[in-house]
Formats: sequence, structure tokens, C-alpha cells
Amino acid sequence: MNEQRDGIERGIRELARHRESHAPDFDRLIERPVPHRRPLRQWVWMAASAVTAAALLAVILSRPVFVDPDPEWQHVVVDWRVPTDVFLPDLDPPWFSGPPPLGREGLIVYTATRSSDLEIPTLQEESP
Amino acid sequence: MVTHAKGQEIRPLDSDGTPGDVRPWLKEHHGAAFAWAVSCCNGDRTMAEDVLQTSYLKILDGRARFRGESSFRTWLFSVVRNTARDAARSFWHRKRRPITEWAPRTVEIRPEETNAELDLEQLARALDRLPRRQAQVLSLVYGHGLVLREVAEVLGISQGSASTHLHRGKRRLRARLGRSAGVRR
Repeated sequence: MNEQRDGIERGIRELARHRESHAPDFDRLIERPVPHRRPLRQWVWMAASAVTAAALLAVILSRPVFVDPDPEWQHVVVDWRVPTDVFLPDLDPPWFSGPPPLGREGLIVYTATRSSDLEIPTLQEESP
Repeated sequence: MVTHAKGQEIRPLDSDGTPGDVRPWLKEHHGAAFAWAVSCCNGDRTMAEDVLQTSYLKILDGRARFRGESSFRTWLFSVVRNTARDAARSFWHRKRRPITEWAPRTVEIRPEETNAELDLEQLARALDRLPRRQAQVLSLVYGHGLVLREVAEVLGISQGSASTHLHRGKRRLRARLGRSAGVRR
């Protein structure tokens, strides 16, 4: 076992000597062009940044621009007896256009929020 | 003035604090530094050349400075190790495979020392398969003749830890080479 261990120790020394003897020329190594390789982390950061920027741009461009005619508009009273576009000319969702529902007359209170401006609202009837 | 490993004196910094010419000292240790770089790069010669070049450039342009706190060789080895560690994290080097074809198939161990014949390529592979720390400690101690205190300085670990790595590495390497009959008597 001791001989084997000695063999291993000498083997490692021989391996080191062998590698030393195959060292490239010092001056050539110093003078050669420096290899420029971008680390993986940089590639990941660049890709992640590009994807994030593209996603943000897509969100910004696809978001409808909503101009609120009245900051206090959360409570809107719609009188179905009169064409709605008289009351809400700037809000022009399709569900406000057209005639009032058959057999329904009077005031209809519509509670709208900014977040619901793209959804069909719930209509609540109120006594005229 | 600092005494380096072989008892010679070097002047890492001139009297006015500017870096002295370390080129001659790098040249003197070039072979050993390359062998150490190969060990740090799992036998990949091409990567070792890149690592060594980067290490030299770090030293020559002052990014790494020898302050005389250890021997020049120990310090140089630690610079190479740190550079190899950084390089190993990069994508390009991770994709590479170790190149061991440049090593000879077998090398006779000097007959006056032992009658064992070792397959160096097999030994290199077995070393590469060891935990990195163990392989590095074995290379530094047996390959480069460093004492445990110097090994600890190069690797940035305690002397006790270096000793543990040495003994565990030896035991594991012996078991592996014994199993594969890499060492013939």
C-alpha cells in the first residue's frame, strides 16, 4: 500500500512536471490577443432586459387611452328616455348606444369605475 | 525586499511605491504556473492558457499586486486560482470539455524510486473527478511541493482544512486508482 501511495504521489509530481514542460512560450502568451468572451450572466441579463423592455412596450402600446371627461363620474345616472349619447358623449362604449330596453323607462343608475370601463356594466333600475 | 520560495530576493514594489518589473519572476515560475492553471481548469489546456494570460495581464497592469505577504509563487498561484474560478463561471468555459489527449499514455516512474508504473492520463482523469479542493491540495502538495501553510494561503482556507482535504483526497484517489488498476506493481 505504501508503494502504491508513493506511486500516486510521484505520479502527481510527474504529471505536474509533464504539464510544466508543455507550457506555452511566455512572451507569446503575453502578447497574443486577449480572448474576449461574454460570461453567461451577461447574456442572461441582456436577454432578460430585452424581454422586459419589449413586454413593457407592448403593455403601454396596447393600453387604451381613456380620457375622463369628469373626475367625478363614478356615479352616472342614465336616463334611458333620452338618447344616452347626449349625456355621455365622450364615453362611447357600445353598450350605451342603441334604444333603451323594451318596457323599461325611467332612470337607471350605473355605477362605473375606472377598472370596469372595458366591461359591460351591471345595470340597476331605480325609481324615476 | 522579499524572499521568494527559492531563497532569492525580489522587489515587488520600487522604493517610490511603483510596481517593479515582475516579468522575470513571472517567467521563472511560468512552467509551474501553467501546470497549476491546468490543475485549476480540470486538465483543459486551452482554458489554462486563457487563465494564465489573464492572470499575467492582471499582474502586469497592476490589478493584482504582490505585497510581499507571502512568497511570490504562493501569491502567483492564488491569482491563477482566482482567475480560473472566475473563468469557470463563464458560459464558454462551462461548455468545454477537458482536453487530456496532449498527455502521454503512460510515463515510467523513475525505477530508482519505485517500481510502480503509472498511467498519467488515468491519474489526471482520477484527479479531475475528485472534489475540486481535494484535487487542488494534492496538486499543490505533491505536484508543486508546497507545504500546508502555503496551500492554505493559495486556496484561502485554514491549514487544518487543507490537511483534511489532503488526507481525504489521497484516500479517495488511492481507492479509485486501486479499483481501476491504474497503479501496477
